[in-house]
Amino acid sequence: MTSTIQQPPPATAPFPTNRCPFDPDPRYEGIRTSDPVLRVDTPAGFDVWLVSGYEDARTVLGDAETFSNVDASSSHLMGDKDNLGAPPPPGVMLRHDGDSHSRLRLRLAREFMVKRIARLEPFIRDLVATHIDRIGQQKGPLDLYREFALPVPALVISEILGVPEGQRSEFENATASQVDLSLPLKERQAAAIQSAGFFANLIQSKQENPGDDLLSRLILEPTDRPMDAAELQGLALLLLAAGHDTTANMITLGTYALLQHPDQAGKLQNPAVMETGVDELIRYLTIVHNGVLRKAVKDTTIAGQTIRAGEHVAVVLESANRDNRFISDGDQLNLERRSAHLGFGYGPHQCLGQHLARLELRIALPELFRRLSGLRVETPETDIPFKNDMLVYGIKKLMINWDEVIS
Amino acid sequence: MNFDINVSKCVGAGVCAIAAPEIFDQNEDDGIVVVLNAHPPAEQESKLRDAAVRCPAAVITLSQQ
Repeated sequence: MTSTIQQPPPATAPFPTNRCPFDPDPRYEGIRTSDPVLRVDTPAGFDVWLVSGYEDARTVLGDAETFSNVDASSSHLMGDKDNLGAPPPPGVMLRHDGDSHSRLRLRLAREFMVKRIARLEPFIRDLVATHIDRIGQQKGPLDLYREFALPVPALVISEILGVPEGQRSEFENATASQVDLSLPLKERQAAAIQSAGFFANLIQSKQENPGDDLLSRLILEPTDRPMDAAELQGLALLLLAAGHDTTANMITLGTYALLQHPDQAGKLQNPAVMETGVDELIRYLTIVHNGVLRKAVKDTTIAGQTIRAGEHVAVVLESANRDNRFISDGDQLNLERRSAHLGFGYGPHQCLGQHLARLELRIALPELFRRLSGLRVETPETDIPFKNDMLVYGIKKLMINWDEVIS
Repeated sequence: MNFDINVSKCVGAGVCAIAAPEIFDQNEDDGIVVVLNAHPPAEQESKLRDAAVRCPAAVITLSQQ
């Protein structure tokens, strides 16, 4: 049997990357209907099919048998095209497919299930209160991202993973330095090495002295295929990366968005609204942006376009979440809206930590607005450093001020 | 409105448990879906629909009967 290699067509458009500041790149509004599967170039130097409509996004993300996660979901943004197709690192379940993924996913699902996460509420409330108290002891303006939005989720993850109390500030500093863009690249890389070493030590100590935490349960729990140290380390780093800066960005960008929408901020103290209000904020801001990458492993058709095995597809969540065939007035923020948004993704890889993210945001945002009376941002919007160039959207530094701290 | 569940596809995301907590829960051992009420009353239909459309693994299929 002979086979002919079919080359995909060349890119016909550049990759849209101009968010402004809460909305997707304005080109998506037209692209979604005129070119729902558009061949574009990417910052990483290879071309992809850009999928920007809501239903098509669900089709791609929901069909893990056709669309593989083997290449990192951001390879088209900062990857090296020579690394495409490399085997996924152990434990990083986001890059595993099929049984290899579900075996890991189902061992973790119970750790992040609704009931289990709900038990963390008193711990998170306490953390939030302590950090707002600390803000109140300082003089404004100060950087909300660094002083509140980063440390709170980092300490929540350290509680879940079982980082001992005495090591939490070391853990917090290393993780904050990794994402602090004001630091030189060398320092950030050093911080990444430091946190890898930190996890290696942590896993060794859990193997020797297990406790009541996620890593210890993974080590102790009887299973036909125990996880080795490399898998545990990969998994711990994945949980940290996925669950830390994402929530931090939602807190910072969410605070700014709510300050720009005072009518919506007024609903923050209504618990019934906030049951689903956080989801609307996640839809509206869709911080996992610029496409999540999948690789077709068999020929298929999306919106009439043939996609061949081996070709890459980038699913643009921020565009899908504004698609007016899915949602009317999608460009409006309305905390009372319920929707089947794609802010946490869709399909078998949908965000594992979504209930944790919801809980953290449902506590942190209302408390910031309630306790910091007169909360405001004095920086003009044109001077606010939005993370257009980053994998996860947000604000690099948000200087807040306030009048008084209410207890 | 009735529904069918394909448990083998469940990934334990727990979206059904927040969309329709009267109908769905998660197993403590693995986070997999547990049906609390296989015949939900009519007033819970919108929650059931919400759970079905939001389930990331498309495990819930609605039927009219």
